[in-house]
Amino acid sequence: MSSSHSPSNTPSSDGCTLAGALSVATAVADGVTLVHGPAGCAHHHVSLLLTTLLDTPGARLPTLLSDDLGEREVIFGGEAALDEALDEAVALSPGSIAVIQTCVADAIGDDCAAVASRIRSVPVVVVKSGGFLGGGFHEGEREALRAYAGLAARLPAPPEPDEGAVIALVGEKNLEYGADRHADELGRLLGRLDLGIGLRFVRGVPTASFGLLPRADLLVLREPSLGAVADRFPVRPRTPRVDGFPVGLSGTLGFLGAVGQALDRDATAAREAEIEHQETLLARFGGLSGARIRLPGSPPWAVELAETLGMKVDGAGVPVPLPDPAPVGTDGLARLLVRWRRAL
Amino acid sequence: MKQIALYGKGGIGKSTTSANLSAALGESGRSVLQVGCDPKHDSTRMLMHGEPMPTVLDLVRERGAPNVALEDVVRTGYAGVRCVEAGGPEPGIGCAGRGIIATFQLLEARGALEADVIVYDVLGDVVCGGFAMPMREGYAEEVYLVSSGELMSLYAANNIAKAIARLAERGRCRCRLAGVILNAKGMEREEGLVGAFAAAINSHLVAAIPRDRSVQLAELHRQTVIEYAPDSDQAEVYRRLAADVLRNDDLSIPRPLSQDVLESLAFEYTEL
Repeated sequence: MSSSHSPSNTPSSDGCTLAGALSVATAVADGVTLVHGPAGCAHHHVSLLLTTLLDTPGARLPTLLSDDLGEREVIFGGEAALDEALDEAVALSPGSIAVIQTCVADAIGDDCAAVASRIRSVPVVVVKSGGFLGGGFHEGEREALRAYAGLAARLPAPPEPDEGAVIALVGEKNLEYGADRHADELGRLLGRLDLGIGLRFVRGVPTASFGLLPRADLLVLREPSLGAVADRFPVRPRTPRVDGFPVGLSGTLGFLGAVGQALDRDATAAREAEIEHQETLLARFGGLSGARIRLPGSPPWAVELAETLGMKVDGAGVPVPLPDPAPVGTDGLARLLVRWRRAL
Repeated sequence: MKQIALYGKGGIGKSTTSANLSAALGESGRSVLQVGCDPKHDSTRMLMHGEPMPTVLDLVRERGAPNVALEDVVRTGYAGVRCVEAGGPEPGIGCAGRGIIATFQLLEARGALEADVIVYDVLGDVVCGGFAMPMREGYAEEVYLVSSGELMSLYAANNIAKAIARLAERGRCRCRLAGVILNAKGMEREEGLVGAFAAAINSHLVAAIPRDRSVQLAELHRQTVIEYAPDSDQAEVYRRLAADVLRNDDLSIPRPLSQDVLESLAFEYTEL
């Protein structure tokens, strides 16, 4: 047996496509998510979502339905079951409905889009997330983002935020511990440029707000790999974007510069203020100077942080935690340094 | 008990051959069960004199499997042949292959699969796991490939030979190729071609059924040839086939042909 197929060799990011799609769809504040597949598929992922959300203060429990496909539907097609379940979903008066396709539905060839097109009173998106089609968790996330982007193009634009420019965060990792703190940090950084987050695409916002996406002045992607998804967003031609959340000391300053450049704003003052903020942080953790630490993988942002603090990085040092994904912004580094200090 | 399956390309005459084979076997005093495994559910039409047959899957859909009794799905036709039609989903939706699996599970659970000879008439164009299930799960121990001399028909037969060869590699699978039945279209050198094909895949030609107007006339009268024209030469061909099937013990693991070899064979026997 090929060891490449062993679960122990499979990155956690290569989990079920369905889980990735659900992580996005269930984050729509007024949405109902309908899993088109066996009830077990929904149940398994409800368990996963609930376990994750237990760690998130104030988290909203998503409304998740299943049309409970069984052998009868596999033989005769599951479209009638989906049709019936869609009526139940509509009765909940949601802002939108996401139909999440499972392996079974894709294998038997149900035309979910055709069934969904019957619903006129509520916007419905269909997410192709049959795991056997390839990809894993991240592909499910991307498919869901593509589906909601398609919906965004059909929605009327809501009023623009007070800050004027619409900045959209794209592809926040909704199952990530601290996702909201990362967004808070981005809000703080953007505030230095008198900007704010106009749209979180997709996390904790109502469906109507997606109408802002086509009017976005800047897209801030959670990670560079989302570029292929954003390439096909219904945004204005040449809408600028920043291909990743800020990571590390210089990375955070670079983020401010990139945003300023994208929106034709002078970021000098913002960068200076942030440098001052970083110096305060470094002074707070000055006691770490001289400590010998080991950084698995030696990511440049972590090496930069350690060396700026006067720490010695070598293979014989004390191993310190390195979260994956990396902490966001300067304040993310502050939380990391607390953990390093504890480890030492 | 002898469990045989006739596989072949759609429209090649599997149902006609199966029904006449079952009729001949029934006429000879054997208890026979014919199971039609094609969503278009017309396998047993001639045996049932055109009487509409309730399909297993229609009843499963209407009532749910636990509420389907044996007497709901088994009808007795000409010469005492018991008839079952699996049926299937509407075209373009669902999974007919899974429907075949569900049908067999239901028939087995109800104790329906008992007879001197069981004849499974199975669609051969679709070679997904569902349609291979009668072979895989040991229902069809002897497989007959029904083919004409047309290339596409031989191509389908060769595909089924591939499935048998693959399944035969598994120790628990008893399915073997029992031979090739030529259902002639009237092409030049057709019997030679199909006979050569049978030999090339490590099998043999069991019968050569000529093209005959009595078949068409019998179908128009909703009867098998055995019933409609019992004294005809064509009826005698089917009776000989039945006798040959009963005594056939020349079972093999086929060696399917590559596409190139298959096409070369067809080319060799074609008048240009």
